Amino acid sequence: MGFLKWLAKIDRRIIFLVLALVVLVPLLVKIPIPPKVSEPVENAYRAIDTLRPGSVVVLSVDYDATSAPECQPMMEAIAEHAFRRGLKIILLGHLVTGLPLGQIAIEEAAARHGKTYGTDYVNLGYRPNPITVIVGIGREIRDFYGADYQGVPVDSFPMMRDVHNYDDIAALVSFAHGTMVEIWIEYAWGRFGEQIIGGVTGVVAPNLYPYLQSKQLVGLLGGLKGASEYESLLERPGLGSKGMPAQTTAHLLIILFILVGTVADFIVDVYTRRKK
Amino acid sequence: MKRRVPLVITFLAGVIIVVTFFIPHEPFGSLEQRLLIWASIIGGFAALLGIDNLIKHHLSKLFRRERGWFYSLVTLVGIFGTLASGIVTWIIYGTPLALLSGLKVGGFLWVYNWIIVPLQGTMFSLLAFFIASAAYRAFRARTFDALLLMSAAILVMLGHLSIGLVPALVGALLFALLLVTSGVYRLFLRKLAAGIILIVIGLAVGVLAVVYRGMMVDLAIQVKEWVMGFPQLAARRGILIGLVLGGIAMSVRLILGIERTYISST
Repeated sequence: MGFLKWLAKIDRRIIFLVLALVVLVPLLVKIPIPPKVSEPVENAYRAIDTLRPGSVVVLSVDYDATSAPECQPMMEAIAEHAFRRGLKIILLGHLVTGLPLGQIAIEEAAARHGKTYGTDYVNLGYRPNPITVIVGIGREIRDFYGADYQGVPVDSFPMMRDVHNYDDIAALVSFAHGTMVEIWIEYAWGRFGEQIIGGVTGVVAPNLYPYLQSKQLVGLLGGLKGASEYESLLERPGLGSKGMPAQTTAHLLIILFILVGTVADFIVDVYTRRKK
Repeated sequence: MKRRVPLVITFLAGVIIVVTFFIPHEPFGSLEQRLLIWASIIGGFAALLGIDNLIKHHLSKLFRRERGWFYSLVTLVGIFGTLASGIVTWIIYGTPLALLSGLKVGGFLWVYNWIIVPLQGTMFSLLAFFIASAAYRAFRARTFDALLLMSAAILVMLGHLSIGLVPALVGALLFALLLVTSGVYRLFLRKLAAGIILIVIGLAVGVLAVVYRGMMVDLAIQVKEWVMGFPQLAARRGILIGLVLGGIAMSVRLILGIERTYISST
């Protein structure tokens, strides 16, 4: 019984150590397992894949380093897909500390595909007050983004000359760890009918299922799993696929923890009741 | 006067925005756009006020040597250090966001890459450890509600981890074991019906997982999508409708000047 009592109230440092090992080992050892693709991810992929080459997509960086392990692989995968399809990318965002992460992902994808800044992609940077910006783009994007993130006027970029509002933007992908996808849906879809795709952390994904069912959201990448599924559709394993084995073992460990903790608790509880 | 002017401004701004939503033509369209630009500019200044407030608060803590003053010092060093780095980078490269500054120690993007990103990442990654600890120490299936919540969580987790047969099968067997254990526990508590039902369900899950192991990966994803797409979605939609109705009510109160807490605390 002493062992079970110890097990029921185990030192949390032991749990931390076991978890660290369970996460670290799969990261160091390559485990190539192709993931099955879920419908929301497949829809997101199709939405990008069926756009006409030369169309403009907006990638909105609404996450920062706290959620980079989940959102950055999605950002990289969709940037890769967009450039592969010959689409033009407008990068912007509503989290000032996250935008450089988006810039890094785009620059890497652009270098692979020989794309040039201003012709194939631009970074419009951050503007305060997301709702006003999202509604305002519906009339004229220049009213809020007169210059790019370095202060260069947007009209000096060839790809921006014919982009004025949502009519000129074929699709919008918001990578978020908060409520930004919902805000994009409420204002950009609700008012202007913009086609929206969400790329969000695992905890945010459940909030977006109502919008998926009502077709207000075209597709959804939820958590690292969503990123790895998108990478498998691209046939280009990236950070998502590399991280999935570690996430899998960590999830299994948590289920095991729940089981062991519950069993120990049940036995101690039954023993205590009988003693009384 | 102090109260009436903000109330009138709020009323006019609210009414204009509502009207332009339904009549986006001129002159309402451009009027709305002007208001939106103003709101964005005010948002920028609000951030400045926030920074000012933060600095004042921490300076006061520091000078009075209040409890935790050292953390205030770290905050202030962080604020002014980042600002200085941005200004210096701006002077050298012509823009604070020059990509080259990421390569120079002390450059603005260097501070971002090597201080801000790792700090934010570290803070958030600690959550995984706390979740694991909480799962072990606090997640207990003593009541039916707790077991239901736990089952939903495990089923969604199984759908997320099902990148191969072995993880999906192991996860399903662990889940089956949990159900059986919960059933046995209820038998000890003399809740015979609940105990037997849980044991039967647990055994069924275990047997089905082994027999149909070839379909486990697809099944795990389908079960996850069902949990997310039906019970979860129904609850979430109910919350959403409540939230939006509350938002509309609050907006009407604000526009009509009934809700005045944004002007003063009384």
